[in-house]
Amino acid sequence: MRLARPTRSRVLTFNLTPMIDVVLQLIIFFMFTSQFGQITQTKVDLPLEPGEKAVVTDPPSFAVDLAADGSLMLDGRTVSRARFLRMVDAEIRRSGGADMVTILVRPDRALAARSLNELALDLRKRGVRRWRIGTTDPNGGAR
Amino acid sequence: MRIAPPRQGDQGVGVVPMTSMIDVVFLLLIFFLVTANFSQSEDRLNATIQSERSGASVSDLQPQIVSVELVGRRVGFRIGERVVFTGGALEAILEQLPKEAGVAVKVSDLVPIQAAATALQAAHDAGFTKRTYVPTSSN
Repeated sequence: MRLARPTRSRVLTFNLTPMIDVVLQLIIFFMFTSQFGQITQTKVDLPLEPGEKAVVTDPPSFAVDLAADGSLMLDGRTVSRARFLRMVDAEIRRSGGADMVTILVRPDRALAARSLNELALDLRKRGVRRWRIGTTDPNGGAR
Repeated sequence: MRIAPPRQGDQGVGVVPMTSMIDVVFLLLIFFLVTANFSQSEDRLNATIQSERSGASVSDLQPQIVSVELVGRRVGFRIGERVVFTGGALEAILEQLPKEAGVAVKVSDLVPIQAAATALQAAHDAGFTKRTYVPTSSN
């Protein structure tokens, strides 16, 4: 029997369909996870100051927002000051001392300092002395 | 039926389907547009908290004291007998003072938080490494 030879026209072609499927799944995954990450950061009109040039290496124990109405917000949810202070107390017990606790306060710049002062006094009563005030560089990061 | 054989140059050798590639690139573009962080970057001002009644001991060096308070209707920064109204002017004064003992920023309840941050920033820019935030209700 005489068999025809395979012609050279059958050159390997790339099958991109599985790759597209995988890439699409990865895109959907990262879109969801990154969106959730942004939702937890509440938009606050922070004080317009360049802040410190030193890179902060240790993350704060808490990042609490002080909204324009004076309310405290943790992870985008309003919490009472009593509840927040209970969480600080628990963190002090967990970390082994108030000196180990650092608070990042993200205040609204137009808010009267009374709210910040009251929070500072409550923290001071518990022995927490280290805090940071979040700021926004008015020059957009260019110093 | 007679079908014309494919010609030598039309055999699909090395042809990459560009439609799929464009789809992927388009999706990547949308992804990066959606996830890009257009918000301004944040910075921090470190300070320790001190209450007015728990002052330093007598043997400690006395820190420089900056009071952030309302002077008339304006927010002023009082240091000693001098009152200035801008962070730059406050920084110029603080630069001339000894820095070993640090600086205490006493913040009135009535001033906006922006003013407290301005005072802390001026102290930082003037070279003070020990910065203390002192909340005060008196004005």
